[in-house]
Amino acid sequence: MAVLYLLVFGPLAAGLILAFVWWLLWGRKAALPLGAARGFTLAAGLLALLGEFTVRLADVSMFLPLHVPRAFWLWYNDNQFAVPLLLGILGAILLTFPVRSRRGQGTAELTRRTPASFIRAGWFTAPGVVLAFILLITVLAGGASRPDSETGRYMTYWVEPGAQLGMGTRIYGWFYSVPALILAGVLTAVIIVSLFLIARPALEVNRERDIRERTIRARNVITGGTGALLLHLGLIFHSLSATSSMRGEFATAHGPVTITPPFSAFGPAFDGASIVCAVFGVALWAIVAFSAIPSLRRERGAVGS
Amino acid sequence: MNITLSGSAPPTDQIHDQIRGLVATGRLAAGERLPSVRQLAQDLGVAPGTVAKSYRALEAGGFVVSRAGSGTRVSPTASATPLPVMEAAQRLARASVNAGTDLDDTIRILRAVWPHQAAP
Repeated sequence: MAVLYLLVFGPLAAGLILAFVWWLLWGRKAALPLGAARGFTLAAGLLALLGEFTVRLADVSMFLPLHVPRAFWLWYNDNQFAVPLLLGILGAILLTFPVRSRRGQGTAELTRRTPASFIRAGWFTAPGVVLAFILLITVLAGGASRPDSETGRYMTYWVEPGAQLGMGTRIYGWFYSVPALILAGVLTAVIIVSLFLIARPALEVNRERDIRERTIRARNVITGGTGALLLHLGLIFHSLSATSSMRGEFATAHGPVTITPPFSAFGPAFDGASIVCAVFGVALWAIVAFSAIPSLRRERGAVGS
Repeated sequence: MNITLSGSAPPTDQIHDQIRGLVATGRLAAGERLPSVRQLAQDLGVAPGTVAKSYRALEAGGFVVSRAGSGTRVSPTASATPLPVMEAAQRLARASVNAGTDLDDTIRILRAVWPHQAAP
């Protein structure tokens, strides 16, 4: 039982520890200043982390004295890959707040404020790479999927070594990936709109503090979005690991024949990638939540100044 | 680079005069993008038409060029400061501030790394 809990909740715990270490080393210097943004940031981070915890709890609910309604299972079975992206979209929307429509006081900077004004170009590298991986795997797995014989959904992987032999299992086919791709597109759009709304208002009189707050908020939007994409990618790898573990043994005239998918050797790699993605996905959302923790040193200094 | 509205002169003239001054003295580099009409109007707390009028006057004077899709930029012939030099200087200033290096020390460092021409 302990091993089961470790497998299910281990990545969650590892991600939280990783984020805590990051916060101890660097995060305390990058805390949000006092204000409403802290509350929304904490809510966004906790929403994503609680969502991830709930999903993992649901995975082991059969071993716990919990009654999970059948309707939830039916929904979750069809939409599990979309859950991290849905949480990512909700989180990114929360991180957009507070939206201000501030007018200036007769002073203006002659610098354009665009969605990219408070971020570094390199910050887009990680989500871009993760998104590219998702697209690549989606196309490969989708191309390998076949319609299910009963439902017609593209979610079955079929191996046919001979005319009379064949076996199938579930794969991350078009049935799962097309809605997830749409949600990934929505998440990207929400991130861009969020960065635009953070950058748009006129700068406050305390320009340095305002720029610092907007930089942290913009970074949180990208960090949270990357976390959501990583958690989604982790589920895809987990699914591919299950698909690659398919085994079949058939009795033939020449003796028993064992059949495995051509990519079965990648099973351990898929497992490892799934855990790594989950750990970093959780860590990124935890880093977002931790940025709402007050920076004691800075605020003490502010009070004393 | 800030502009500030003060006094009793019309805002259109103040915006025009201050941007023209920044271009003429090289503090705005050739090719540098100016804020959109909407952003500048919002920041200054004036009507967008006021800023648009100033931009049109600057364009007529050859200080800025406006193109659909790329916004308003400082005219390539109006400023003596090349844009890459201005951007590098801004990066250097930010790096110096972050590192706690003051202006005099930054200038000294710049002089030290400046490529000297070989003696004839």
